[in-house]
Amino acid sequence: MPTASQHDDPGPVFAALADPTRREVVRMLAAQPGLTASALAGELPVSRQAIAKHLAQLRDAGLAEAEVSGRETRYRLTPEPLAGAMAWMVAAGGKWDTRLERLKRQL
Amino acid sequence: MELHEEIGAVRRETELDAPRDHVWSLVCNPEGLETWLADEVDLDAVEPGAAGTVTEDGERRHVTIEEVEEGRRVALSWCADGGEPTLVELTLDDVPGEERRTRMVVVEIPLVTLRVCAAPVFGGGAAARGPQMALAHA
Repeated sequence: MPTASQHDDPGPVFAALADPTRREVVRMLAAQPGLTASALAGELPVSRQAIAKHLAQLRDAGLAEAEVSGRETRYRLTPEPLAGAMAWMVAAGGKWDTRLERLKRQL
Repeated sequence: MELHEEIGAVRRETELDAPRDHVWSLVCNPEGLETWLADEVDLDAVEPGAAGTVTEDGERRHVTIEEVEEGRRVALSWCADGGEPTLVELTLDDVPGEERRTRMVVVEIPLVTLRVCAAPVFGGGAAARGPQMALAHA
């Protein structure tokens, strides 16, 4: 499990979500928690091996976790780290709003 | 939960009440930037490769000018101590039919996002062009 300090650093989350296939995996896990890698591969135009790699990266970023049930490994989303990434976006966006207001006052 | 394609990128677009050359004069040199970008801009010039610091609300960032397209675009990277390095792109465009107005687009993207992007995923226009070119520096 990721630690609290990992949650505070949005870097790994941005990296994990920069890939369109991984974003698709995140969307599917959000809609259907407990999907297997095979089920995900069946829905997406990539191989099961590629899905496994993407799932590993999502796990490394703390965005997904695996649950072994019988002979299957099921995945579900652990979206808590997204909060750090969202917080960065809100803070950075707020700063640009302030800077652009200052620029407008200079004109 | 809703995920946007633009996750990781901050984008602002605004129309300014001044011609492009005037806005450019506030972007293309440290003195101009200091009037709005930050409280202190410690840079020798706004030229590719120029490096220095900017301080805003007591927070200091190291900044490097990455690219300059005369009259139109400045790309810089910056990073606070212990923070996430990001790429910032400021782009100015004329507003069609409005000689005395300028459209300004600001995009800020963490470099870690750019490094793993095989292709730009951030919509079209300036937002897509900037990161592509900046990849060479990342």
